[in-house]
Order: sequence, then C-alpha cells, then structure tokens
Amino acid sequence: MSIISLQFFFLFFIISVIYFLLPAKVQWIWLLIVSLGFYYSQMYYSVAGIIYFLVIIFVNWGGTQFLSNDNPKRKIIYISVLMFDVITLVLFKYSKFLYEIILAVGKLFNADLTNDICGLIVYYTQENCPERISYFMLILIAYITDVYWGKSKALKNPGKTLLFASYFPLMTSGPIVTFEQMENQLFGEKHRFSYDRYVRGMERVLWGLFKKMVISERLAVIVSRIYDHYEVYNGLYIFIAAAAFAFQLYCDFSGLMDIVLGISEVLGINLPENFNTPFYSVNLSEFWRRWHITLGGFLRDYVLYPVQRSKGFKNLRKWCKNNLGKGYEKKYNIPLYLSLLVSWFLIGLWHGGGWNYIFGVGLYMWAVIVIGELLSPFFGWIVRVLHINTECASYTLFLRLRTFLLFIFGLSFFRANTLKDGFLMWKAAFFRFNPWIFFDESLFNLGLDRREWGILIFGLILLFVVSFISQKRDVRDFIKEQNFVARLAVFAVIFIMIIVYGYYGADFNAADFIYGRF
Amino acid sequence: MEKSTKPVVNFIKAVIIILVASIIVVGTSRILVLKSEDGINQFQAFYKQPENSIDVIFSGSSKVFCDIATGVLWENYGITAYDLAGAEAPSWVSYYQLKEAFKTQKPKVICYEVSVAAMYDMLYQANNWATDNSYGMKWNSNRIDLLKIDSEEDAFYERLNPFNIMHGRYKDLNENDFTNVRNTANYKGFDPRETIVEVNTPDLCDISDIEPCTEKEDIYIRKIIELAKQENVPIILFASPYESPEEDQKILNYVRTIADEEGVEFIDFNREYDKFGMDYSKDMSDGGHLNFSGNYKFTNYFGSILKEKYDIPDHCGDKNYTSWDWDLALQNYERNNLKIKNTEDATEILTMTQNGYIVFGTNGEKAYIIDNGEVVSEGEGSFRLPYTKGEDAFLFKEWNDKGNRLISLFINDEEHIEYYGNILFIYDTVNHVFVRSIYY
Repeated sequence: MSIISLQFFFLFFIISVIYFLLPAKVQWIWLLIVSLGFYYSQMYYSVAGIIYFLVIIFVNWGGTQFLSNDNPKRKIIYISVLMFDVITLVLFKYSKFLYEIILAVGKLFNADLTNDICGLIVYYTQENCPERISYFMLILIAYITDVYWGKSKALKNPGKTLLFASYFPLMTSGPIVTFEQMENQLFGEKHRFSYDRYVRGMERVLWGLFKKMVISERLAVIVSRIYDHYEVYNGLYIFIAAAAFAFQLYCDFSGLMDIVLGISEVLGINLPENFNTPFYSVNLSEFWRRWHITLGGFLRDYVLYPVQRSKGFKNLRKWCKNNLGKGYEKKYNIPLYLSLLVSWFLIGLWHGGGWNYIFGVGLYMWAVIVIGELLSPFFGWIVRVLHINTECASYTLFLRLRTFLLFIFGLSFFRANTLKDGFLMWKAAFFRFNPWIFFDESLFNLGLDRREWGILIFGLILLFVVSFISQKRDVRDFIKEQNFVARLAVFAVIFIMIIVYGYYGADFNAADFIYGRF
Repeated sequence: MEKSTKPVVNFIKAVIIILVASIIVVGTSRILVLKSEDGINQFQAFYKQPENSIDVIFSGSSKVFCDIATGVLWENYGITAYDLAGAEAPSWVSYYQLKEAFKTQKPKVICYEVSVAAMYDMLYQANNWATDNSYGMKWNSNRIDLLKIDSEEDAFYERLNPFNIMHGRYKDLNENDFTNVRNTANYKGFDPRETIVEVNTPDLCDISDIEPCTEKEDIYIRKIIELAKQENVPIILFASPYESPEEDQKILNYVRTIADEEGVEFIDFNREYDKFGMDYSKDMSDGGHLNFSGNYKFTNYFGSILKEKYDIPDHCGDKNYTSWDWDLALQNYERNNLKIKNTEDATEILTMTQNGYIVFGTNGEKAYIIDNGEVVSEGEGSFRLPYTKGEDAFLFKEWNDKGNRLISLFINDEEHIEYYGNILFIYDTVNHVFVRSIYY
C-alpha cells in the first residue's frame, strides 16, 4: 500500500482513532500490529520476505541480550551480530554488484571466477530482498552498537525490538533513527489526542503531498525526457535536467519525509529531521549536513568516528606527525581525508550497487570537499588580493550557486543509468551551446505544456518561499499565528492544488518515491 | 474559562476543516466530472427526470442513443422514452444501469438492445468506455458493483476513487464544465449521428445457425430479464439494424434462444428492415449506427410496435411533460440544421430559418441581422452590428495583415471569419450552435 494512497490515509485515520483510545501500556502493541501489517503490504504480501525480516530482528534482539558489561564474550557476540547484519545487507543489496565486479575481475585475468551457485544467490537475493532493508539494517546496526557501547540498554522484549525496527512511518524511507531518540516516545509516554498536534501533523503531510505530487512528478517528466534522450537534448538541456533532477529528488525525498514525520507527529512520536533547507548551503560539506541528515549522522557516529579512533588511524596520525611535522592537520590532514573517504564511499554505495552512485554521490563529493579544504588558503588569498567583500548578500548568493552547481554535477550520476552514461551526458552538455532554447518554444517540447510549466513554476516559487521562511522559523508556527480563516485558506489552496493538479490516477504515470527503493 | 471552552472551539474548528475539505471535494468533482454523450450525460440527465415520468427505457449500447429518437416517439405517439445507454456497453453494464434506473422510475416497458453481445467478445470494457459508462451514475453500491464486474483488480481500485480518473481533466476544462448547460432534464439521452455512409444491405434470410455469446454476456442478459421480471416490468430484447455480418447473426440467433427460454420477446430488426423502409445506402452513419434519416424511420416503426403491444399512455399536451417538448424541439432543430447544411440555395435557407434562428448577413456594403425572420438590426459602411437578445454576438468588418477584407462574427466567445462578400451566417438559438455560413 502506498503511503500516498487514499486507502492509506483512510486506514491511518482509523488507526489513529484506535491508538488514542487505547491505554498507554498497549499503545505500542497496536503500533506493532499496524507496523507489521504495513510492512507486509510493502513486501507485496511475501511471506518469505517477512520471515527474513523477522529472522534479522530476532538475531539482533538475541545478540543484544548478551552484550551486558559482565559478559566476557560480549565483544565476539557484538562482532558476530554486526557481521551478520553487514553480510545480510551486502548479500541482499549488493550481491548483483559484487557479482559484476567478480565477472569483470575474471575477465581481466581471462578466467571465469563465478559459477551457477553465484548466479543463483544473486537471483535469489534480488527476488527476496526485504523491502527498505537499507533503512532498518542501519537502525539495527546503530542499536546493537549503542548497546555494546553502553549508550543504550538492551530491550528484553523482542516485540519492542520488532516495533523499534519496523515502526511503520520509518518503513518508507527512514529517517534512520537511534534507540535513544525513540525509546521513550515508543514505550514510555502516553500519547493522548491533541487537536493542535493532529492539525500540525496533517499540515505537514499535505505539504509533503504537494511537493511530491505537484512539483516532483512534473520535474520528473522533464528529467526523464532529457536523461533518456541526452544525445538529442544536449548542451544547456543537460544543465536543465541536472538542476531539475536535484529539485525533483529534493521534493520527492523531503516530501516523503514531511508525510512520514507528519503522520508520526499526529501519533505523538517526533522523528528526527532529514532535511534542513539544503539549497541555502554555502559549501558542499554544509549541504550534506542539511541533506539526508540522519544518514550523515549515522555514518559520522558509527563509521567515521570509530574509524578515526581505530588503531590503524592512530598509527597514521603518529606517522603524519613525525613525517609532516606538528600542525600538519592545518595543511594536509591526511587521516581526516582518508576517514572521510571511507564515509563518502559508503554514502555512495548506500545509494546503490553501481559505480555511478559510488562516484557521483560518494567519491566525487569527497574529492570536491577535500580539494576545497586543500585550496582554501588559495581562495582566501584571492579574496584578499581582489578585495572581495564576503559579507554581502551577493557573495552568499555566489557561494550558494557554486555549491548548487557542484552538487548537481555529482547528483546527475545518481540519475544516469551507468557511470559511462553520466560522463557521456556531460560530454553532450559541453558539445553544444544552445541558449536559444530559453527563447524559442523548445522548453515546451520537454513533456510539459505552458499550463504545466505554469503549475510547476508556481510550485517552485512556493517551495522557495517556504524554504526561505523555514530557515528562521517553522512555517507551521507562522501559519498558526494567522487567523483561523487565513489558515483555512492556506489549507484549501494546497488541498485543491493536490487533488486537481497532483500527479496520480489514470492519466498520469506517477512514480514511486525514489528513496523508497533502498 | 478558556480551558473549558478550548475543546469546544477545537471541535468546531475541526468540523469546519472537514466541512471545507468536503466542499472542496464535492465542488471540484462537480467541475471535473467526466462529460460525454457516450454514457455520462445520459445518466446524469436521467437523474434529473421527475420520478416515474418515463414510460419506456431503452437500454444497451451506443446503438440505442444513436438509433432511438426519443423526440419521434414523443411527437408521433406521446411516449415518454429515455435512451439510458453507454458506448459499447455490454450486458453487465446495462444490468447495473437498469438497477439504478429502477430506483426512481417505474417504466411500462424496458427495451434492451443486444447487439453488443454479438459484436464484441470481451471480459471487461476498454478503459475509457468503462468509466464513461459508470461515472454518470451516483457513487453508490450499483456503481461500485458495476466497476467491480467491469474491471481487473488494479483498475477497479483505481476507478473506485473518481479523482483518479477525472482530475486529469483540469487540462480540458471549459465554460461548459462550470455551467453544465447540456445536463438538463430536457435531455433524454438521444445523441444522433449526421453522416451518411452507404453500407451493404445484409442478407440474413438463410442464417439459422446458432453461436453462443460469451458466458458473461449470457449470464447478464438473463439477469436483466430477471431484474425486469422482479420489477414487474415487461421487457423486449431487440437488435437494431446495422451492417450485421453472418457471425454476429449467429450470436443474435442465440440471444433469441435465451429470450425464448426466459419467455420474453425478441425482435431482430436486421430481419425486418424492409417493414419500415430502411435504405442501407442512405440511412446509416457508419456500419453500426443509423443517421437522422434512419433513426426516424426505425424509431417510428418501433413506436408503432410499442403502442400496439403495450398500454402506454399518450402524454402529449400534458404540462407535466413539457421537457419532452423541449427534447423534441432540440431534435427537430438538429434535423433542420442538417437540412440547412445540405442546402446550397440561400433563399431556401432563409425560408428554413424563420423560427429559432439568427441570420447575420451582408449585402454589398450593408449588413443586417435577422431574428426569427425579422430584420432587427442594420448597418452600412464600416459597421459593427451587435446582437444581445439571449445570445452575445457582434458582426463586423475587418482587414487581415495581407490587406484582405474580412467579415467576422463573434458569437458566445466563438469567432467565425470569412472573406468579405454577400454572406449569411446561420445560428441555431435552440441548440445554441453555429450552423454554417454561405455565400450567395
């Protein structure tokens, strides 16, 4: 069942009514039943998928039961469960990618390094991969690690562990939560009905639907037309497509997050934010701190910091100090760059088993950030020599534009079918200079007519206005301060735009959420 | 004080929000609702008919709303008939349409046209027809049951929510969607065809073989008969004339066996066309539908059968049935418009447009407007003649960018431009349609 279907919202209304009628002690049980039902529907009612899911949860729950400080074998148990999680994730999500790598390596040495069993494993894991595995596995890895580190206590009740990993709003596309964030909200507090919270939550849901159905789906038409025919739509079309894809992905993913956070807010459970107006960032590091925040947070806390604290990195830092001198961090912080490399590689890989992901949203981003760091003295020198005023709005705008262009270049590989396609597309971008497309009727040949462009531009302007206000305060607080009639008018306009101009139903080829496939 | 009133205030606010949302849903759905004379308009206007005012319901496919001229039945026999049909509608569609119809009407006879069972072999209708034939119905159990029986599972859930189907119409909205002028009680479902296509006269005398129709058609034809029996309304199964091939005729023979088994009448007009003077070279608009000439002859004959076999009162002159007068007028004007289109003699056209027409004309440098046969406005030279009585029109001279003189008629936001000369523009004020222009 799609989270943006009428059936879902109808069911959600009933679910919420029952939820608020139940006593505090059993509210989590109701959420568990609902979550399992929702996940079962997400798995297209596959019993095998649900069994895999339950086995994974059970192993993690079982592992955490033996991670108490007085258990001498806790480290080996932690590593075993961690390995189980990682291998499960790799098998289900990356077996095809690994198979392709093995095939390619074999070709280099003129040998076939695979056999039928490998093929069978790939087929089986691809066919039976539990949905949303990339999200709940990271949640579980964070959980067992927190328990191992002593940051969180182990849940004795397997049902509660099951709910923590399968809480239904999360089983769409995250956010990736920690046990600390969820424990009290899921199992401690009594959630009573609150009119204000219900309205606020649904306002956010509505805004998410608007972003997905009115803006993102229209951008998808332009993006698909250009990406699928970049040989024809070359030159400046490619820049249009890259920019459009960035906004498409943002509206798609952040729209889904608005829906997820909104429905969870209705239930009294506040989930962490995943976006914080990223297009207003002035550099790429900041951009990624404001884009898919919980994934970045996970990698920072559970990959980057542990890697930096590892023995190998300690030795490396020692080596750098001895060979590059004290204060090497200011010039060439090699250990930091290497640990970031690991993180960025994993970010790329998380987005998909393909070199286009690893390059575009991984290594390229890493390279830009590191080069930016290395060249920062040079940039500083230019600013000083040319007497550039860095304290004015135009300079901030320049930085934002630069960040945006750097981001969309990398992100374009995310959308490309392969790494090669990504490069060929950019080759086509610089192959031709065709500025007339902005003046003749060319832009109306991208699948959207004048009316559709009008709706899209209206949506984007609204998005920018909301994002602009969001930088300073929650837009919903701003709306709440207005008179009830004004608030109602905002609701009515957005609601009408969704039901009339939204992409859904028979005449529209509306797509699933992009991040829903991870 | 504030604490005690807050829940009440919140409750009122919640009610207002739900109310506004409901108004938006209902309002937008009324504007966006599918409009088509292939089934939708027929059903929506049906709901506007006064209760128990229809004596004969004609049910079936497009052959019903093209072939059965309700105006002819009214004019010649005083029969209040309604074409409640949908394009390519199979028997299961007609079954649920009739079920819905019985909620408000208790007709004296049901006439069910069966040709679709012979012409098509389908399990479900094509997407557009499936919605056209169900979306005119109110959203109730009959509509849901119809969608269920006429859709594959995924399509059913999609069609269940009308917004899934109709919100895409925002691209095509026009004035009619907001005013909905066609959807009135005066409309009795008739949607005639104008073209004349010469088709072969079928020779069916020797075809006695029987070929069964699909099981689903079989089941629902019987269910229609059963429904009529339950409602205690006589039913006639019939096949209206068309270019029926041998294969179809075998299936129609099978339908006859169903009718015999069920003890109801079946009339295959493909075998009786000579009785009403049907001429396949002039009376068809395509292989499957009659044109104006054909539907007149056929309906008139059908009416005589109905009048002879059933006790159907003559409502002519009854002031409670004036909407049928309007229906007749609309049809008569449509017939007249067709004649005007096929006439090249301007004098004759002026004679044909004495009532219910506006004629905008020029003669040399003079211009004039004739309303119901009388000149109501004249101009000369650089004229700009307005007409505001019921219609909003202007007739004026202009020049195009190549320096040619033009004569333009703007009427109800439509523009008709011709080169300047002695010309007549004919407008039908009953159907509110521009008929034609003609030089003389």
